[in-house]
Amino acid sequence: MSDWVLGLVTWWNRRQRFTEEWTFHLEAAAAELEMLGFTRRDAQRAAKRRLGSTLSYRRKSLRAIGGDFAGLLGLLPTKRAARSPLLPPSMLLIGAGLALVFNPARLMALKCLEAMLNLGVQPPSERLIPLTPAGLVPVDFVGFALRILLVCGLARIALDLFPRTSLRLSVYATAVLFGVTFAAAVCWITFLQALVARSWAHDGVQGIVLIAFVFGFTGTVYKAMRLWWVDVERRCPVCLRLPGMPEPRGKQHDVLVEPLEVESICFHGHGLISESRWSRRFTPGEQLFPQ
Amino acid sequence: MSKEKQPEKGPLLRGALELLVLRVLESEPDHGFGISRRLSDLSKDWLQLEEGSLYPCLYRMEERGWVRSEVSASHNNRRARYYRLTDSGKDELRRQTNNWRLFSEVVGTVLKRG
Repeated sequence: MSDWVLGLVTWWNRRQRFTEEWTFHLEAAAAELEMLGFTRRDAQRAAKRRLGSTLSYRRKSLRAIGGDFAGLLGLLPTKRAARSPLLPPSMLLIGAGLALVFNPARLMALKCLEAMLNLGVQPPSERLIPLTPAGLVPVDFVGFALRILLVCGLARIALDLFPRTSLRLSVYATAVLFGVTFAAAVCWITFLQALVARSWAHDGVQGIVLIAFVFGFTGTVYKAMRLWWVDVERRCPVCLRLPGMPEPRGKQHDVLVEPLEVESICFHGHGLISESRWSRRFTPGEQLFPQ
Repeated sequence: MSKEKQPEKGPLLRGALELLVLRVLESEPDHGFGISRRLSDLSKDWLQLEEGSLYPCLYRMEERGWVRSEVSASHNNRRARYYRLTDSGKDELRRQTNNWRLFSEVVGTVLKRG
């Protein structure tokens, strides 16, 4: 955390520097003009005119000393954060949380969410649409599908991950799996609420948008599940950080006996992760550097 | 001096500002305002230096290691940032001075022949 604070303080000091020097220059120039007989107000105005556009010079100056946004990115340990195991679950939770916070019908969204995750009962929808509570959306089938995905994901963790690797990796995989399911549920509810709340000129357009969303949602959830598993398998089972410095190995013409592999190393020295098209394996640091 | 013969005041050539600032800082450290005043005095008010562009130039030079800056009190007891030439800046000044002399000599030769 101290690196983040240090980066922010350095960046802020860089931004302050130009302002301080510019103010000093302006005051000195105005004082010089005052000595020539200008009134204080006229001197300040003339000094400002002589110095030119503050904004333009400020932009150039900040770029030169790294006080702009690119400079901030360079100062903050963003690469380290991108490898952190906290990033995927926190991003999913923050995204879903923001979608709920900024949702005008958030209370009904929470009730739908409870029903979707089988934790509560959804208010019944009436046959006449005006009598149906505002913000109520159908969640039964999608909730069922997401619960099935959750069970499949947990089964995969139990079968593929738990016996072979550390408990820590299994817990991480479970946490991210729950995060993906929660985010998908929030996405479904939020979009359907927005779709229903909007007044459409033609029902057909609304139907087409709904069908497109259903297909898009299905594809996105499928992709998210694939990314979840790839991410889990790529992480170091000891510290859960993503490895780096990828190095291709193998023979291009001998794909069956010695297939091409990409070796990545854990920056904390826990081991080596070798990935090929067919498999991924982790070699612990003790085997790489026997004592 | 008649109006036709009076030389026009002109903006600095691209890249010449760095050379001039290095030359000004060679004699003694100074703050931004002092540098702009001394440049104006040395050129007898002929050069039209955009004062605002001085600071981006100074920061660039500091980033390259040609000058070093430190905060101290100015002559009127205000807090000001003074710029000082480094060894690398002195080398750069020598290099840019040689380049400038060579450039002006070549241009002069071409103009004489033309």
